[in-house]
Order: sequence, then C-alpha cells, then structure tokens
Amino acid sequence: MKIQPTIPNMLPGEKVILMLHRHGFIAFRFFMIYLFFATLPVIGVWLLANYTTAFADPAGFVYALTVLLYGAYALIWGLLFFITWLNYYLDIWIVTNERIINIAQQRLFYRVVSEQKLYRVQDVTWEMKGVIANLFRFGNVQVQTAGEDDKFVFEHISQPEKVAQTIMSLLESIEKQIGLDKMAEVEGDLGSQAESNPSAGGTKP
Amino acid sequence: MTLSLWLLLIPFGLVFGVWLILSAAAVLKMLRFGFLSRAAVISVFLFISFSVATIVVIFIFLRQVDWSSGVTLGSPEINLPNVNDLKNRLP
Repeated sequence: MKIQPTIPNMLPGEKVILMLHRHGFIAFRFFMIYLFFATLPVIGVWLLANYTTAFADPAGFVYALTVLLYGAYALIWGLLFFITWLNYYLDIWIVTNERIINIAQQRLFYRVVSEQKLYRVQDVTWEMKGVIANLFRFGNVQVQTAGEDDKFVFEHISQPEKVAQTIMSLLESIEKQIGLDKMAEVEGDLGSQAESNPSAGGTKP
Repeated sequence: MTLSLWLLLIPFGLVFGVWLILSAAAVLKMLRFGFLSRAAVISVFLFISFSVATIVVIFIFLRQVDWSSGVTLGSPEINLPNVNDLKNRLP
C-alpha cells in the first residue's frame, strides 16, 4: 500500500499524484565533488607522516595544530555535505489532483513555497537538453499559468515527458469538470443580473 | 614570545560552537520539512553518527597533547653576558 505523504495545507480530498526531486545524477555530481574533498586530508596525512616530523612528538605544537585543523576540516566537510544533501532533498515539486506546489530550498535558511491551482495552468513544456540529460533521461518541465508572468519550472527532474503528460491529463480532467461548473456559474450570474436590473443590458422594446 | 598550547583551543572552540548551531539547525530542518521519510531520517542518523565519531576521534588524539607546554614564536631570546657594559653602549 502506498502511503500518501502529507503536504503543506493539504485540502480535503486532495491526493498527491507526483512528488518530484531533481534527478539522482545531480546528487551523484555533488557527491563526487565532496568525495574529492574527502580524499585531500588523507593525502595530507600521508605526506605529513612520511616527509615531515609533525607526528613525531604527540605532545608538541605541530601535532596539536594538525589535529585541530584536521578535526575542524572533517566537521565542516560533514556539515556542508549534509546541508548540500538537505538542499537537494528538500527541493521538491508536488503535483496533486488540485494544485502544483513548488518548494524551493535554496540555502539552509532560505526556503520558498509557492503553489498554483491546476485549473490555472495554460501550457506545459518539457525539454531535455544536453548529452548527459538525454543519456540519463532528465530535464526541465515548464508550467505556464494564466495571468502570471512567472512560471513554474521543474528543474532536472527524471522523465520530464511523463511528468508533462501526467500534468496535461490531470488538466484535461479538471477542465472537463470545471468547464461545466463554470458554464453553469456564468449563466446563473447573467440570469440574476437581468432580473435585478432589466434596463442595464439587452435590447429596448 | 612564548604562547601556551591551550590558546589553540580558543579558535577551535569558536568554530565548534558555530558548527554546533548550524548542525542543530540543519537536523531540525531536515526532520521538520523532510516529510519524516526514510531517506530524511537515515541521512540525519548518518550525519549525527559521523559527527559523534569525528568528535570522539579528535578527543582521543588531543588527549595526548601536553596543553601546559608552550611554543616560542620568533627568534628565541639570547642572554649574553654584559661585557664592558656593551648592552647599554649599543645604539
């Protein structure tokens, strides 16, 4: 059984359809960078042990300074790695049956949450740019909404064509549902206006 | 000038304090906004384990240091005998 994750301000009857992170290749890329920085102190220890007398006197100044510097380096490395992972993992796009939520975790203390109703979506475009993106099948999906200059961009997500297709099919089903309701609503409004103010519109006898 | 070795612990303590605050903020953020998913909980557990292991290793290595000893900075002071009052006659 699939567990429905809880999302911010979940509406009654709302269901999470897609919960998207960036592609794993993006995580792999930053993992390799941190792996490189993890090997640097190992090389440093090897050089210090073989070519210097830094570790010869365990009670001395050079030894204490080396241990403190290495300790600080390891702690900061671990923290930066965790924060980078946090920024990756908490950067989420959620598509429900009613809305699209964009949670942008840009830095540790900078988080932006924006949402848009699905029926306001006008245009969905997806792109896969570059050799690596085509090889690993990740790319961007742009969701243009009505009356808004800015658009939602799902960046570096896996299988963007399927995501765009899912959003479009959700949109079609909502349009069918909302379209009938809207028609009834507009007709009702016009009818009530005509009753309250017969001279405002229409033709004179 | 001779500096005591324990003075090295002051900048390290400051760095450690800032690290501790940022770590607590990062862990709380992950637990609060990570939907308490398996990946979020495991990553928090791994980070705390790595941090505790690093601190223990640092502590084990630092126990060997003689913190009461000092280090002489610059050229060491030389006490020459004051022959014929030369020290006072030098410009």
